[in-house]
Amino acid sequence: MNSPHWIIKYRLGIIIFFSSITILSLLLFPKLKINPDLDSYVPDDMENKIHLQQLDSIFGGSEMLLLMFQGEDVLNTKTFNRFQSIINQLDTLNGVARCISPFDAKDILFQDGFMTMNPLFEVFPDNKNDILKLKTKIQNNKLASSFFVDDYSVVSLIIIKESTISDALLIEGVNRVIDNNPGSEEVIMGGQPFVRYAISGSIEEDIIYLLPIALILMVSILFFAFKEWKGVYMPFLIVIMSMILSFGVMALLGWHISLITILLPIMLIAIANDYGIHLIARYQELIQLDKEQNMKVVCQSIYHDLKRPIIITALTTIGGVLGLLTHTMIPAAQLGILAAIGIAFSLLLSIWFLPALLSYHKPSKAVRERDKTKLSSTDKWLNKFSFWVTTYPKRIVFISIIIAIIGAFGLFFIKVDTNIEGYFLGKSEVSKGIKLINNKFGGSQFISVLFSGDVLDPELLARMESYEEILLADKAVGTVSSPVTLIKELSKGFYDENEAGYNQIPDSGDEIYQLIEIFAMGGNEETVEQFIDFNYENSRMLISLTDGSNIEGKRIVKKINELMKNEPNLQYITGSCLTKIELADMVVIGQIKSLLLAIIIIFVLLSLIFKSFKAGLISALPLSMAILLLFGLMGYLNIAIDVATALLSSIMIGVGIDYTIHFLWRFKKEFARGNDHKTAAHISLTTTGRGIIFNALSVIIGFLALTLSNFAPLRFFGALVVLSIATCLLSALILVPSIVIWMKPKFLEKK
Amino acid sequence: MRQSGIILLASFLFLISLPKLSVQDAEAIFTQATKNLVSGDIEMDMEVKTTDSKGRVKEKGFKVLVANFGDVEKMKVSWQKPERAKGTTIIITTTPNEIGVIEVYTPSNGKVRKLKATEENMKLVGSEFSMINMKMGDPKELLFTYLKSEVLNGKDCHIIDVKSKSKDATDLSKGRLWIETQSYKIVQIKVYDDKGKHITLVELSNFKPIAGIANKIQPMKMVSRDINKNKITSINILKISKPIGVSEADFVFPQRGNL
Repeated sequence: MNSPHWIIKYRLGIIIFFSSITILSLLLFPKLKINPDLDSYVPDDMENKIHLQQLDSIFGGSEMLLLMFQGEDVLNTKTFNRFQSIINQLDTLNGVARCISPFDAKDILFQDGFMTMNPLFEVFPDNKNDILKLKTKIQNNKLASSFFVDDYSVVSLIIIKESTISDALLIEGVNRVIDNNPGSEEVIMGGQPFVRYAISGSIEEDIIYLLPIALILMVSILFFAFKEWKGVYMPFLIVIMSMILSFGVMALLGWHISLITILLPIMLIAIANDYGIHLIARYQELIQLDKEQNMKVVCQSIYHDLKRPIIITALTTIGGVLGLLTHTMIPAAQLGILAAIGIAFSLLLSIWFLPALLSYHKPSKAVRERDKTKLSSTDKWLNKFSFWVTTYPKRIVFISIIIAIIGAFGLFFIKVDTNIEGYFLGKSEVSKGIKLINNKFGGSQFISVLFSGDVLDPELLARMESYEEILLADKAVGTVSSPVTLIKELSKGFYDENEAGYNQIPDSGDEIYQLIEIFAMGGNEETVEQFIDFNYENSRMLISLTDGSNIEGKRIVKKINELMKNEPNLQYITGSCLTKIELADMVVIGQIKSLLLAIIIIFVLLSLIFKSFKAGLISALPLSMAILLLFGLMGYLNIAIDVATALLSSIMIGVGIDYTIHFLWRFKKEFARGNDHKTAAHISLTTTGRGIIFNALSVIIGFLALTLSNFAPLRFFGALVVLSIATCLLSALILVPSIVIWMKPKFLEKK
Repeated sequence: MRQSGIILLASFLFLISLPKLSVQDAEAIFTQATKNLVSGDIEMDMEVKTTDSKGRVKEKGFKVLVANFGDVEKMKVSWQKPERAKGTTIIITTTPNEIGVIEVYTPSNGKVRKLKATEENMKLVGSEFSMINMKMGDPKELLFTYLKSEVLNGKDCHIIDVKSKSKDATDLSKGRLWIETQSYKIVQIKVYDDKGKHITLVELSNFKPIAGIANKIQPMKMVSRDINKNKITSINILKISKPIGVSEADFVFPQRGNL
């Protein structure tokens, strides 16, 4: 090496170039937006999404925010006044289309030949007897009673959200109104806009708190491993710069941070520091071997020694994460692209930027003078692995196969759940609201059934009434609302209580039309249009579910389909509940497709690199076994595959394959130096193995931060990633060397 | 939120029933503008076309009859279109210093329901305009403000604010009127709610003389835009005249005797 390598020659330019790209990416950050809406994960051409949009265009937006006031007994003057004041202020709040509350309920009476329709809550009674009378009135009034729980410990109101306002603006406004009207009752919020708002807030919180924790943990483990700051800040810097570039690209492309893409920094922490760690480990190895070596020469050497394995590991990882492109879930595919870009950038940073930067430093004196005869705990572990692998290779392979088979059985128990209500932990405010709505107010997840044709036909309405009765008998169904409820209520205003026709569907379509016409003219058009469209051509039935799980949702949808299979006026069944079910199917299909594609890409790449199919097989096999074990364990532990855990396999492939390649590459090199299989495996394990262990440990410790997340799926995700990385580590350090020693593959013996 | 049609009818009836006012410029301009409009007993056929924000159209036809019998004012609104609603009728009887009566008739079941014409019930039958009309009819309850003159559709117009003094004034608490300076035709009304928010824009056009009533003109086309809901209601008066030989019997439902 007479003339300096170009990396050394242009080191300043390299540093400035990569730093500039990072700064430019950072400037794009203000454009980043968070999107917590689960519906946006589903492609626009999905049938249910199209139906939902059609339904919205027919009936208008129907997004509801629920406010529940909980106290000992809410029927008292103080609560009444607070409740009324809040409603008055909410009515004028920006983004509130209207408020529906018990104050809308009318007390219909016949007195002296006149029908009176007075508000049920016009004057609040001031003595116990009148309060008892009021309670009886509420019980007999279907419209009013639906706002109370049976023991009067909770009273609720519904806010219809204007589609033009964001969840955040509306909820912050509502919170201001509540703060302006303090009281002893606890106010609990619920409904999909609030759940989305909470998810959005929690994503921000997770980014603000979890990311630094993960990075601090990573830094600590790197310092523990390398015992010098160069070994800490350089891999750390690569991770940070890769993250900045990926998020910059995200902002540039106008993509949003979702519950899935929040995994991007976590993936990069796991993957992007991999290459830097191996370079640092090699640098330390070199300065220990030759204490007089010049730093520029060391940097050139680490570049030459590790350039190829690092490029190969990066390419296979990029291939693995690009497997996510097969996902129908849009953010999953976006994650694949962004992670691939981040990994590619970290590759360039590792092979060019890191040596350039490292060349400005002096070799660590402490590392140079480290006592080689004194074994660290890592070295002790590596020696143990080496002993097991070289002594019992067949036994290890056999045990691994048994573990994989046991794991595979767990796949039969695996379930898929994409219910966002399950994202929140038991004691959270959101969880509390969800429980209260599901248990006391019929549930916050809806299925809509659209009927078209002559929707005022009494025969159709009679059939709808029978569907309603059957569905209401199911414990998973909370409430069923349809034009039938409205029309029967209207009939009460035109027939005496003891007269035929009272609380019944009228016999003729004309009569139904006239009742609705009179009602709509009184400023109640919006109430009518919740069920029957503008020109009376379509009507809908709204079914709420008390259990938001996919299993129950699927069962009810199946039941509705069977119930209405011969219904001539049925157009379609739709709802956010079906989106969730479709999403679950997408998760499973996407998971299988991305896994297969990733394994195929890796198999082909490694077969090409090592010019042997066996190489592809040996690399892909331990990984496949680790994946089987992971998903099997999820089945045994009843952990559902959801939007977050669905991405586990891609991360596992991305990380796991790197460890295998690093081992195989070093093994090949040591074998070429004339060592036999066992010796080559021993040297590879005790040298490259060190980098692999440091890498895995830093990732494991980093991912532990996820167990502090606000979301249950992210907590499980964190724990499962730790388990996956540990499995990949054991595969690379025990299973792969065992296979290599036992099978003696020819591709590793080629010069 | 009220129906555009109701607001439009309210504006219209507000105009035709204004009493003689006797205050300064704004009031004088207003009086001049309204004195040529039809007031008192009238009968008319009208078509109401409502177009919602999604462009869907609904058409209805009404016959309206207004007559005074001494102090008692009666108004009858009968549906002519669509066919399914034909014959549906609302009769409102108002008497000074008394709560009036609303009667709703649905021909399909031959039922008549009576309600007291409280403000709340008037809203229930979609007749809020009548209540507002009565309140606005009292000059002591009105405030007039002359704002400025402005050119609208190529014609010079006075702009006047007419406001109710009543604390109970509801949605129609303020109306801003554009009155042509030459002809004193009221060509545009902006309606504001009690929070000062512009809720409706009414455009009046196609002014024609009324057959059988000397020196009276009437806007035959009124278009109302509900600003919040982006809904347009267009009223076309097909026929308007002073009723001849109208009696209280004209305000009786066919089945009344069976009640």
